[in-house]
Amino acid sequence: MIAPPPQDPSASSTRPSPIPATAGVGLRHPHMSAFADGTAKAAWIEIHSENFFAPGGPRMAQLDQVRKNYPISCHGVGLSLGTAEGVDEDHLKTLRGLVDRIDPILVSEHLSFSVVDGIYVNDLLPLPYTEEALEVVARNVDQTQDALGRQILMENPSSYLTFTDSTLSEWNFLSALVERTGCGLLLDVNNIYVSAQNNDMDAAAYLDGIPGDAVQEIHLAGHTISGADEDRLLIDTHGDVVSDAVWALYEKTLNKIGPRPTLIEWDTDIPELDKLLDEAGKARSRLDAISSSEGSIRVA
Amino acid sequence: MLHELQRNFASVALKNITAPLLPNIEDVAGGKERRLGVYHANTINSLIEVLASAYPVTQRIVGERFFNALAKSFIESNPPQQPTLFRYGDALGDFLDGFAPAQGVPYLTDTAKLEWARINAYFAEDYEPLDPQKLAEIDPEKVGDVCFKVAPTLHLIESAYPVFQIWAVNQPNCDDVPKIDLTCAEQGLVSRRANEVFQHVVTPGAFTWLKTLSDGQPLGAATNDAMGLDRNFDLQNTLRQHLAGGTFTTIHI
Repeated sequence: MIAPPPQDPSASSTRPSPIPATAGVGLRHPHMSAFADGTAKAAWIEIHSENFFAPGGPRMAQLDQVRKNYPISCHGVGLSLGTAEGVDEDHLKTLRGLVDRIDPILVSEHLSFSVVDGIYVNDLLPLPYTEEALEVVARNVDQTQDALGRQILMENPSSYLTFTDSTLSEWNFLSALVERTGCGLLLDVNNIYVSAQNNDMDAAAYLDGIPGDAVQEIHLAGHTISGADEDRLLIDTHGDVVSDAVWALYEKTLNKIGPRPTLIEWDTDIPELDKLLDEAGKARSRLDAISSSEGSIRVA
Repeated sequence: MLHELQRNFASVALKNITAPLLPNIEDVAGGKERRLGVYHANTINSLIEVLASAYPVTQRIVGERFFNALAKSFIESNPPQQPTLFRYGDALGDFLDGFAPAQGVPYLTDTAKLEWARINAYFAEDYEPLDPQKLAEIDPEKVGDVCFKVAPTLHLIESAYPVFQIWAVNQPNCDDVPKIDLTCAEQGLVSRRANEVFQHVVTPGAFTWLKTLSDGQPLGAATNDAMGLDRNFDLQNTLRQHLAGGTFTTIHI
């Protein structure tokens, strides 16, 4: 079991995250040199862990440079914690090596699966929310936290369908997972919005249902809309600015759980660094607004 | 139960086989197949992108549409077996060898293998090049018995086609395209010194010499092999070049 970090009892909302509630951006290849030389103005950055699983070479050397300039969060996309057969020990070992190398501020993974019978499907496939799946994920999360010697955050997926097998809501599943494993949550507000639109899920009930104290990081990203009327589907592309509707849901989230470190993800049609940092600026101004209003309530 | 559902979902994602999973999916406006189609498209398109970024020259030679089709076919028969995607696609060269629609481009397999060697060199572990002084300290009587450990970044490439030239003229910044004699065989190496991946052709004698050394044979045997192939093989010069180029890391007798 991982002991929760100490909390300031005088704080108006619990902020267990080891980093301040500022805005960061995902580190993508075209922007690498601006982060390696430290000129990019970002409070913190996030890497996809598996991109840095090499034993050496230029990419790892650049990462060491980046690490000198910015706090880094390790966001995994391949551990496949929803896989019924269990976690790949070699993968876990390599992840441990990366975590030891760069001492990240946060380590996160997804509530999904992508490995079946040793084949890696390069997508974050959704899980049915059943007792069986909960046991599988809890076991895999326990094993990961034990191997890394630290808490991990689990991210809610974007989804295009729901299962007839499911007996729990996604938020109840995540709450139970937090309770069983002591993991934290990475709340992807765009994913909540995308899944809510695609699957008639109630986003407000979602925010009410998740344990806000467990949320240590928020993700924001752009999506695209495909088709119209009954064919209308939101696709989680990470290839555009954050939509107005998602900014609105983000504000609701901050009002509900308080400010949290927030990351802009942009993985396809990657823009100039300035445009990416502009998006982070929009998150930062909302974080600043909520922090100052919390402050004034405390003073009053 | 979960395992079976996951197996069926993987078939959707990789092969667009939807029937076994359909009973597990809630009915939805627009139909379940459309929803499942998103997962299939995400999976295949993202893997095609991975292959395209690993094999830009191969893609340029056959064109984007042909490449997408061959990549799709490759993905179906060789899905990734690990999530570290910069290692995905190592088998593409061999796959192309047996890929009937590509037989009109006989040098495609070797070009792909050269591209993969560059990827391997890029991600290989860092190493310290051999200090030439270490070799100078060996008793001259025993120099022929010295074995060399080659750099973990080194790849020897041998082709019946001029793959190094083919690679060079298919770089985006190459606008002066010379005529290439496609019947001319080439041998050469790919490696990485510090952070720079490089490649160059070597003479047939030097190639044989390097191949024998990298197989763990001693310097004497390697030099004999090289002289057997090329009576003008220049040991001193070749050795000096490869010591300076960081081809070796350690020696032992």
